[in-house]
Amino acid sequence: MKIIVEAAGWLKRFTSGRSELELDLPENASAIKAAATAGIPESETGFLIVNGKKVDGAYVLKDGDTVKVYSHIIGG
Amino acid sequence: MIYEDYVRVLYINLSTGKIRIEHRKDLHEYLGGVGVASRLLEETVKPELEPLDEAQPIVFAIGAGSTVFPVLTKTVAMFRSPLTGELGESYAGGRMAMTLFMAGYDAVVIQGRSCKPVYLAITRNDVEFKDARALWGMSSDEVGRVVREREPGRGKRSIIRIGPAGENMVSFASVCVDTYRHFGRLGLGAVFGSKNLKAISIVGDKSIPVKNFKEYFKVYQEIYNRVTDTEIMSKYHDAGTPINIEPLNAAGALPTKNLRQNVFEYGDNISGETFAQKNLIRKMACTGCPVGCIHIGQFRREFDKGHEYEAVSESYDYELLFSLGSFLGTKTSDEVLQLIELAEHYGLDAMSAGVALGWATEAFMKKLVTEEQTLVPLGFGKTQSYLKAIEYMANKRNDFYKALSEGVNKASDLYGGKEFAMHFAGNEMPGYHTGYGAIIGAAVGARHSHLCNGGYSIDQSMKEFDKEKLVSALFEEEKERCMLNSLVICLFARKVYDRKTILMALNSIGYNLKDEDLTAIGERIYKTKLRIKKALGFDQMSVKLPKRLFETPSMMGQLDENVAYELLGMYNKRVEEMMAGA
Repeated sequence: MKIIVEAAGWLKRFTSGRSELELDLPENASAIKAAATAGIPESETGFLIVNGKKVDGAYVLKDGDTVKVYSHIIGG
Repeated sequence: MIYEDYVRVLYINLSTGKIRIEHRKDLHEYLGGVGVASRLLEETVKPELEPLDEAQPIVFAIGAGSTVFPVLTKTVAMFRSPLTGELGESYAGGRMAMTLFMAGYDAVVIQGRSCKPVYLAITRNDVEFKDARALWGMSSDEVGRVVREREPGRGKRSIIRIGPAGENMVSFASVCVDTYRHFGRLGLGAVFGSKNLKAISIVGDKSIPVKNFKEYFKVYQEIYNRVTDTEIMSKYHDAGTPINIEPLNAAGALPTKNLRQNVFEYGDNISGETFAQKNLIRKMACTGCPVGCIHIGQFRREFDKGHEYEAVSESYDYELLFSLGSFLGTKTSDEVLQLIELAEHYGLDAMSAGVALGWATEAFMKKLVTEEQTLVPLGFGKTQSYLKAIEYMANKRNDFYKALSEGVNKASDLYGGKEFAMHFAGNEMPGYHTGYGAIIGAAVGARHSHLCNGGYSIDQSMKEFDKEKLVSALFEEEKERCMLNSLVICLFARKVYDRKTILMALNSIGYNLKDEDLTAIGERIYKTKLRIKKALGFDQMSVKLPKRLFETPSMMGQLDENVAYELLGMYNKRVEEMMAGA
């Protein structure tokens, strides 16, 4: 299935500077799997938004979904 | 002092003009930093007197390994806060820790009030009291420039100073450290102002030989490599903390327009990415830090007709983009920098200033106050009005701005709007509406800061909400950070400085500590802070949370006020149990 992964801000360092990638993933792939396939390590993944809704990493994707990946909130 | 079994404290009395230096062996068990500062504050604070009484102390302290290892760069200030009336605790980087260390002081206690404006020139074994009447009224930038020109020690010097807001004793006036860093929170600037103390120059030129160089260098290199060669710190250097705008906005956790919203429709315009692309011109580091997380942004200002422009540079962090950005509905990065620059000019804590203006805007919209009082038509996104309002607040222009200059808690006592006065026990809220962790963390934190226990971070990492686990996590983190702040580690590097690394570092410079010693030090410091808070009249169970926190959904969804108060009670029980065993 076709999945779009969008990397926000700082995470683009893991996607060779690309903010959007189209991936071909197996059926029932999870949101965190999509992020990892795009090159974003799980340890750097803070939030996942699928089609505008915040989801857990285990969320099962459907063909045509868009996964936006955001970094952790950082601070002191 | 490293290699010594005492803490070297410089006492300065502004009333008498006298100083003394004590070698305090009894403070050694507090390690340094916030531990030593807490004990010194407990000894010298006067609970029966007002926060700005001349008898109240200002305490500065550096950590057990300040500047000896990478990223141990900060100085802690402790005082009685004029904003909350209780524990004042604030941290700043820059060069101050390095200069105090190399001048031979672990801590400084300032008491009394000068009969005329002064600045202090602190050097090794000496303090000069210098006439600052000509500096009174100057912005923090201007006074920094003048003191730089007058005082020797370039490159080995730190200059800390206040602006007009501190002189006017605005309850959330800040102290500027070496231009780009601040003791921002809880009103240290007002305490300076109340003492007629405009600035302090510290020159540190002492050399301290390392005793076991081989062992020390091995440890230093290991830490340095972790800081520079791993991903742990790189995001702080890259776009810095402003990268938070994007994830917080996406997760519905970005306090916007006085927390009437949790998502900012112009969030992309003020994101870390936008600042990096449009405004970022330079990155800087505190002395002793190889990271360089201080981001300097620039905007163009027209200062006269006929295409007369100047470039203005200011440092920016996430908290400022929240308080003067999303919280006020500011739509562009240039406008955020303009607001930061003015808050800096007057010497205000940008966080409290923004949150105060957010409350004032809503109070104006709800007709609790009129334009006769606000003097400008306040409205979210109206930057020109906010620029005027910052000036009025710093100068206490009328009764309304005088009230606002005491913080949203006191202003809302007078004008109403308590339900949307966004503070925790008197300290204006930080920029995280992530869930119960952020709320309870700020409410119970010793200084009511998000940095006391990182509640926002616990919200982020907790897979499933569990009351007991949340309370335990906050309690343990609060104690752990007391220990970390006894070394005054920059908390950005807390993942570098795990327990093993801390012990390795301290034991390579003459300490003989074990893991359980660090636990005991953390608890000892936390108990000291709680004793001070109690003496100053703080009662955890009397804290009232603004209703707005439970009206606007957080990252965890809609929060329940009853659950929040239940969590406060649970946390308080943990505190009582610990203190009963004291």
